[in-house]
Amino acid sequence: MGGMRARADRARLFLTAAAVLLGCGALAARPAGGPTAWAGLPDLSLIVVVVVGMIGVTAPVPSEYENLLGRVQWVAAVILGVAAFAAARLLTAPIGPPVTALAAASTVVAAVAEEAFFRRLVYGWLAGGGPALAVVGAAALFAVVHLPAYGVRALPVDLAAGIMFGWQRLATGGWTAPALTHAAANLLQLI
Amino acid sequence: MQPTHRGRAAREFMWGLAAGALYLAAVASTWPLAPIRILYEGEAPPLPYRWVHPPAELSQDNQPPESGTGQIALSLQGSPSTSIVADDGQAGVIFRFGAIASRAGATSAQVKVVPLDPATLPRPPSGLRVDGNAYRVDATYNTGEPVVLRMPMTVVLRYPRHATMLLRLTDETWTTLDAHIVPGSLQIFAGTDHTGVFAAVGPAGPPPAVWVGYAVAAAAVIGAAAAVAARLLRARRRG
Repeated sequence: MGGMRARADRARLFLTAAAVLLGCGALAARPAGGPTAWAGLPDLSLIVVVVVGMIGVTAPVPSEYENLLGRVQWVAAVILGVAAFAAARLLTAPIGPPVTALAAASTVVAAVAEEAFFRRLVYGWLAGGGPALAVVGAAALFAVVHLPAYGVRALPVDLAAGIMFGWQRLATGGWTAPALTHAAANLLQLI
Repeated sequence: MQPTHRGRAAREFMWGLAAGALYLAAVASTWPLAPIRILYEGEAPPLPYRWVHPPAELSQDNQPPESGTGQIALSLQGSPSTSIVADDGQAGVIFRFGAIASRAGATSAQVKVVPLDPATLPRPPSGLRVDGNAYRVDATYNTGEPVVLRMPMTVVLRYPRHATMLLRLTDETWTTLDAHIVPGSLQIFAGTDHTGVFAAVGPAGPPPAVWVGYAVAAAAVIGAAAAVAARLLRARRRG
């Protein structure tokens, strides 16, 4: 009986680890930028991110981490996160070409999908090792999957952003505060 | 009971402030080493590239590229931290605080970013082709002399297909700059201690096939979905 349970636990762990690692692989491998010949249509990369986000939403995570009540008010966590990203945006003047409304909408969808994956599934997967491992581990994976698209110089920023989202996940007990903050942070880049 | 909860909440909020400060420090130290939209997921095809001289297959829909100009006020310490960007966002140049040296009698510097047809310039080194337009960056004091840079400025170019290097043209010779490529936004940037003509270049021949990345991503995402489906199925079987 005990052996069967141990086997079942191992299988659960293996399948969750496979979903996390393959999801990260998909996010890292998706071609960035998209072929210009398809201008006006959603990039296939967006479909990859959306599917990964759906995996993040549907994959089972231990209920003790899923429904853990946070100690910080949801609104306070969102305000703090958005304020940090807005202040950082004021420090910089990023150079980039104008974007279409479709691109702006897709960056919001991508942000929510990524948070469902990293701050629900990945965080839940790592939470058994303690909150520090969950926050930093999810942030590290988040930073690594962005390496192919943004390069090594953006790594510290992506890592720090992941830690902020991870703190929001820990403090509020859910992934919606980081999702909203991530979407706002992406949009702030377009102003 | 209540004070304990409040105390814990306050402590967790302090961790949030620390996370915010960490993010600000990361951005401040990275800028202008990465002067691009670093947290922006460009998950939609970018606007079409604007060519000075487009390839034949794109000539019908091509819009001419735009220039950028800017006036930078100078103080005793030199120039403020600022950027001058072409109106279509395809090229820009960033000056850190004090990058342009002050000069007796000069109160400002004029910076121009102008697109050029690379076919009118010397050919890049063998095995390379210019990807997109070349851009001339001129910077002069309001007294007419070329500016003196006290520290490198950062040149940022958008490229249309596949660039691996950023070159500067000096006296008919192309010099390779230590560039950083951002495939996510089809941009390349590098520090340079001289103004001049800049071009993003890539290997001659067709760019790498995009479908390989899509195929790997699709296989990985299907595998991840299968793992989750198997996990859900097992959970359902166990009731």
